Amino acid sequence: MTIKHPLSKLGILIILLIMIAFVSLMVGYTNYSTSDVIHCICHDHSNFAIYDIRLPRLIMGTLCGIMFAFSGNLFQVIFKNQLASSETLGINASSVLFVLFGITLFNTDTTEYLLLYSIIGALFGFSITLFASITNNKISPFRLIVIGIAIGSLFRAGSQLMLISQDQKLAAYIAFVNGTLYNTTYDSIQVILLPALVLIAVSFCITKQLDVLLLSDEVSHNIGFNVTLWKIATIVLALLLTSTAVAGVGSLGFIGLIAPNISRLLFGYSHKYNLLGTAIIGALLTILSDTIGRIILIPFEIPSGLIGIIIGVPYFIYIMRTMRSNT
Amino acid sequence: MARNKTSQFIYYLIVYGTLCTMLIGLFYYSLTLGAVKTSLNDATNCLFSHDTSSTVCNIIINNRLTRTIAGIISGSALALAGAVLFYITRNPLACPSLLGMNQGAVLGTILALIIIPSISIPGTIIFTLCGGLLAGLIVYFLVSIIGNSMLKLVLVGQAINIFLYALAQILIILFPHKTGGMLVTLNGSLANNSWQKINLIAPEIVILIIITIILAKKIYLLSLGRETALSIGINTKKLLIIIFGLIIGLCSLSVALVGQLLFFPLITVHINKAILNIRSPYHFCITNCLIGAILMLGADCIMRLIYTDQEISLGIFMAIIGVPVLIISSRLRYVTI
Repeated sequence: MTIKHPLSKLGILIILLIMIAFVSLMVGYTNYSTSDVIHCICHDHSNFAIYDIRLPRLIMGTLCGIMFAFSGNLFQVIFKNQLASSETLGINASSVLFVLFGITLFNTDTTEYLLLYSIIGALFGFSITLFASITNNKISPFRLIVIGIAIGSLFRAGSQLMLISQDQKLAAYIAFVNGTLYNTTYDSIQVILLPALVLIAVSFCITKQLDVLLLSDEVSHNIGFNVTLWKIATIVLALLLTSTAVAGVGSLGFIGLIAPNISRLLFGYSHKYNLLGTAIIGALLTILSDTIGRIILIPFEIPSGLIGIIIGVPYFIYIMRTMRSNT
Repeated sequence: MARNKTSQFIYYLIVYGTLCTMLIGLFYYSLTLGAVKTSLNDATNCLFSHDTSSTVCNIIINNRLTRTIAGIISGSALALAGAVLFYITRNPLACPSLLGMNQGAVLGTILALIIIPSISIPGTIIFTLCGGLLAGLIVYFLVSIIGNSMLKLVLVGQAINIFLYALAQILIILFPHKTGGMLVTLNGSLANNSWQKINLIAPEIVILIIITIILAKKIYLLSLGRETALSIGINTKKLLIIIFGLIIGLCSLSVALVGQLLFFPLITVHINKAILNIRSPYHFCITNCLIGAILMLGADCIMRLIYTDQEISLGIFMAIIGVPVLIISSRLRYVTI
């Protein structure tokens, strides 16, 4: 049986998302039934495990999953490169490093400041990767990713150095380097929520422009489209998405690589449905990896970033294999 | 590059003289460096008297000397593996540590500690070798599917590296008690080396280094292309398997000594090419060994100088040097060997 219409595919994805969301609220150190969960969310908010621990994680995971997936999608459109994402361009690691750096230097660790440091870090990391990989005004797709990953490992090494040399202040942020939903509270969600919703909404507004950006630069120029302007705008949007997400959950990057690719398989290149699909798949994968990380070996918890890598790398290699015919 | 024989001889003399002087200098410096101040005389006396009764000599012989020897041996082994891989792939980005081999070896070590907590050092080394071998085979297999190009090879290697890194992290999270001591070694460090470990590992590494250098000419001929090598009468298939085994052996054994060091072989090969520009395969391999030893000891000394009161892993230092080297080398057009 094949499902043709994009709306029905979206419907199935949404149902899947809701199901996984319920599962992630139900299972864990103590298991609850579906009726417990519904009762707790709709009526009394009294269950500490569900309402104060698992629900914030779920919300944060959904938001940040969508943002990582969107930023990945935008980078893939800009570079016309299916391997691009905030993780493989070294942006996540650079954001994390700047967050750690900011915390030690200015001694402020409220989420607003994390957001600011993260944005500066994303900009910095992106420009380094970009300038290191341009040759003769061109960017080879593989070189971009090779350099991006290398720069990512450089910044990750820097983060480790920060963590080792300043343990007291940064002790809470060790898990941040690998990406985790562990420390999520309603307070941190409140700070992330507004920028996240605005950025996600803005992304939905530029679907048409994204479609045009997929064309070759000459073609889009000929139809009267300001390529440079929109490219820069898209890059800025993608960087903001990444840095907001990093400020929320740390470097949880491979979601951003996989989600847009799966969505493209399901919905094709047109961004009208593709972007919706990316959002749902991104949220789905993030919650899934968080849930797996939580329940796989109770009481230990594996950062969802690591689960993301385990899922993401095989897919990354699979994409490389298909790219042979295209490039 | 020197043209005639005499000037070439003088060139090599200067190169080897400088490298050896640097190495010996660093060797003594590394022995005197540390929280307990010791003079050069103390170090020399302790070295030749083998008397570990005094505290100073005990520190020098059992702590600093093991560290220094581990650095020299593992540095030259890693550098040699890098040089060989550079030759046979003709890829300026090829580096065993970027192709998952070292990370695989680290994973093997962690697994050994988890499965058999009371495992002896030789047992750990077997696990380490298996890990390196497996990772190498996986990358080789994937590259043969995806297609080999300068950048694709590295990209697959990086991907496998990240994958194995995640696996190692997960194992450490799940078994914190059994793997606690691994945290520093994971990022490369010369600390925690005992005479027992060095006595076990160093001879094998030295033998592998000698075999590799003897084979250097054949490896060079192989790098000229399969047909050329075949026409000279080299069994290419057998040679390739031997070389692969040598690279894995060198990498895994040095991982047992220093842990994981990303970028290290790459850095040595490019320093060698940029500064010395040697064409003879023998001399290229030998100078690369020396440069590796110098770089490893130098990096260790710098880290010990900056962070006097704690052990900071060398991997961080290597990443800071290595990433620019990788970026520059990925932009190079030459594949001249």
